[in-house]
Amino acid sequence: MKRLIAAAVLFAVVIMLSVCARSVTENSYNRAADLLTKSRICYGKGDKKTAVGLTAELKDSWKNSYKYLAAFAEHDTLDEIEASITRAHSFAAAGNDAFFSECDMLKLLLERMLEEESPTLTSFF
Amino acid sequence: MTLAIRLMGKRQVGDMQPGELVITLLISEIAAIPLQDPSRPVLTGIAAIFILVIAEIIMSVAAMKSTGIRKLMSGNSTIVIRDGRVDEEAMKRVRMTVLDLIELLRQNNVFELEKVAYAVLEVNGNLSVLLKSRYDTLSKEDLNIKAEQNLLSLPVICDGKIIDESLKAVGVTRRRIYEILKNKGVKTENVFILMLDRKENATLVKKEKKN
Repeated sequence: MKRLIAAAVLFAVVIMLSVCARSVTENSYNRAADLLTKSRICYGKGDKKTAVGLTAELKDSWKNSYKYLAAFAEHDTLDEIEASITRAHSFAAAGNDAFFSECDMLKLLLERMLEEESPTLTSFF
Repeated sequence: MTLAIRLMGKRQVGDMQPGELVITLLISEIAAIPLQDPSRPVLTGIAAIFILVIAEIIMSVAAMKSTGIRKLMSGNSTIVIRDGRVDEEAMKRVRMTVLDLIELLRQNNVFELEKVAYAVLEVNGNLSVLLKSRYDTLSKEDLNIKAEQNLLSLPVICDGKIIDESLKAVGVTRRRIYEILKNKGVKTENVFILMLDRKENATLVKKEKKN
């Protein structure tokens, strides 16, 4: 019986960790995706100054999220996203249209991170 | 990792059933991954270990309740010597050679095959041996000698420290221990080990004096 109680406690811990991981990842994704979409729209409309401001905000927001995400997500994926955000910010600041393709790449990376933390059959197997 | 194995209820690798051994190997592999690869967060390894421990506990509880699951998980013990005769078919089934059998018999202090009535290969790989009755050790009962039941002697003082769990088990109070030590003329801190049973039969080893 004691061992079953221990198993139940461990199970609760695993579920709690899993819910926390999912919640932190989802919040980080939503925040980053929102800022990214907004900056892309602004850049597309020619408002480059706002786009640069938004990418800078995205950079800061990601730096903050990284601390929590590092506990659950693979550090390589997080570093890739960080590098992509920095590139997007540089492209926006330089007025380089490669910004659009970088945004697409960044969106893809963010979606992959979210997918990795989702409790789906694909992520299990 | 140690906590996980303790939760599984095992102390040594030798105690483990095949399924438990597999789980233990898997746990040690998983524990090593975050240590080898700095890009992997430690929490993912911990969660995976917890899942394996939970699975093992559930399987072991299920095995306790169901004979079928127990057989599936651990297999059956096999009689390799029956009525003093080596069962070759059984030995083939467990892929055991005669030399292996003789080695396991030697580990049981049996050096002659003809002394064995039954030998059973247990699921954890140990061999249990029943000798033919004429080779059995004589007991006091065989000789009609009345003997008192042996009492369990426990260490109540170890390296000058009183062990309260042992005191409870032998039914002695701390006060009584101090009395026993006073009678022997020894202080608690000078005791290396004091073994005591329920009838207060004491075995005392004093600490060696440092020069």
